[in-house]
Amino acid sequence: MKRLVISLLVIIIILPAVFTIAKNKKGYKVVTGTSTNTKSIGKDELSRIFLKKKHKWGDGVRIFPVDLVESRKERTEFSKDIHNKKVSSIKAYWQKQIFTGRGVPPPEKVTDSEVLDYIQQHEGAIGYVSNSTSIENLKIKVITVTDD
Amino acid sequence: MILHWSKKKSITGNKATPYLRSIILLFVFYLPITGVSQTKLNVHGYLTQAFAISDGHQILGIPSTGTSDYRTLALQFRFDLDEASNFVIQLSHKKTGKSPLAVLEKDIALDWAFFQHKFSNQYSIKVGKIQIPFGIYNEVRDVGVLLPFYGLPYAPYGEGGYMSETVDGLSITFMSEDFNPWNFEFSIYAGHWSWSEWFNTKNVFSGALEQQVGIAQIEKGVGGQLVLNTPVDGLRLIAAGQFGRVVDGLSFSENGILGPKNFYDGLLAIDADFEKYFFRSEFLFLALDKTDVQVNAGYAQAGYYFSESFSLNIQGEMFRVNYLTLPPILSKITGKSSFSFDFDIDYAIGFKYNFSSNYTLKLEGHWNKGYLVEEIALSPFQEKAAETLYSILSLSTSF
Repeated sequence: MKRLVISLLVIIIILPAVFTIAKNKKGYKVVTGTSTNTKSIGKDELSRIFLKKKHKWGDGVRIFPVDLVESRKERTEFSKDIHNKKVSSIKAYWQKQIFTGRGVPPPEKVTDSEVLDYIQQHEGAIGYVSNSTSIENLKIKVITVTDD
Repeated sequence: MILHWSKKKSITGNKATPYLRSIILLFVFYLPITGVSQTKLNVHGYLTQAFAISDGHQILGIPSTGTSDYRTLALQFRFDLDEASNFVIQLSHKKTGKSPLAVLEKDIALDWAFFQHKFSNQYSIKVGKIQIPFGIYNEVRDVGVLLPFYGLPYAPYGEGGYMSETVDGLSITFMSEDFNPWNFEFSIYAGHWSWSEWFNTKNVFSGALEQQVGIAQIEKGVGGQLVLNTPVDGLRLIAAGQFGRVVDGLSFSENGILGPKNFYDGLLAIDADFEKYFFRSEFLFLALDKTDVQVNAGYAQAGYYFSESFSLNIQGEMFRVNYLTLPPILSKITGKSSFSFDFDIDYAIGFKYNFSSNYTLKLEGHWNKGYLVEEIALSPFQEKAAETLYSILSLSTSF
């Protein structure tokens, strides 16, 4: 009986944690070129980079953010997680920037391989791809996103 | 410049323009599919095509028979010269149905063209034909996908409502970054701009309707705007003001009703856009120097997002004119020494459906009471305001 109670208690304590971990596991990973001197980045800073409010890395290299297209589920998750906004709100933000002449959005790529190609071709580029996409043998690294 | 005629005729267009217009329409609908974006040159654009109909009076160019000659279209070319400098040019095509101001429309017009340089993340300068930063919507007044209704409220944005979209001159903008979570953007500008004016009169001999259209010029105009972004995500407050000397046109020419005048105006706005709803309101005060004429205009609009695609929007607007002291002839007509009237009151309800971020369908109905009706001449000093219902169905795209 004592074993049963302990087992139940363990299950009660561990199960929610397992579900929480599963729920918090992101479907995307943030990637940049291996030459970029950044191992981790805060959500706020990442949001500012993708809204083109921050233009340069700490070492002065120009930042080239690259997005995924609206139809990709990673884009939806990234917008909610990093900008805390719907993709449509971010799109509206860029439409305002465009038609007031203030700026243009980052390029949007359809596939992960296009994002990875862009990052390899542009020093200082940063993007995100599906968690399952392999970056082996590429001059690309994953950077950790922190909660600021 | 004053244009005066009794039988409306177009002063724009030639045989080549329908073909040019067709090519541009195809271009705009094709581009959202293909996209044109390069490192140095970016091409963007928007198009809104509408069908509009009124229940009796003709208003805002909308006749009782309906019109599909109601659209806005623009193509923007942005050349990035380097990281800090760019040149932006926007061409537009606009049709306002049977509006008296339609005679001023060109098939292809230069919306704006300016050189922009960013000295830093904080300071930037624009030189050329520049959008005037004034209120929530002035810089994006025709971008259909961003607007809750087809057009902007007459008060304070209406054509003929003492408002201009652009200034020929320069503007300097400062953006704060160091006051997180508060931050602000401050812009000042100076130069020359213009207002369009129109009104209807009756021919004293024949009684026939005569429409008069003019363009008033604002000389030595200066203005500024402060946008304050609050710590509440989605909430911002705006204060703006302008000053200048108005000449020419219908009212401000040497022989006009008012003559050349200094004018000043001020605007306060609140813009709250949240996850499930938005609320926006703006109030404009305008006065003409050495006259007893003042304008108070404003609107409030709100919307509820049932989903990311579908929203219900409502709006109420008012444009009030105050004569603090009436000229003797008007005082004799009205029997009053001062006089105030609502030039325009408009209530609207509409639905907006986003097929995607780039394609939007809107259906809206308006109830209007005022003196904006176009097929008759109404005097606010002698006659009651006209009531009109009108509806607009519009499809917008941008890329």
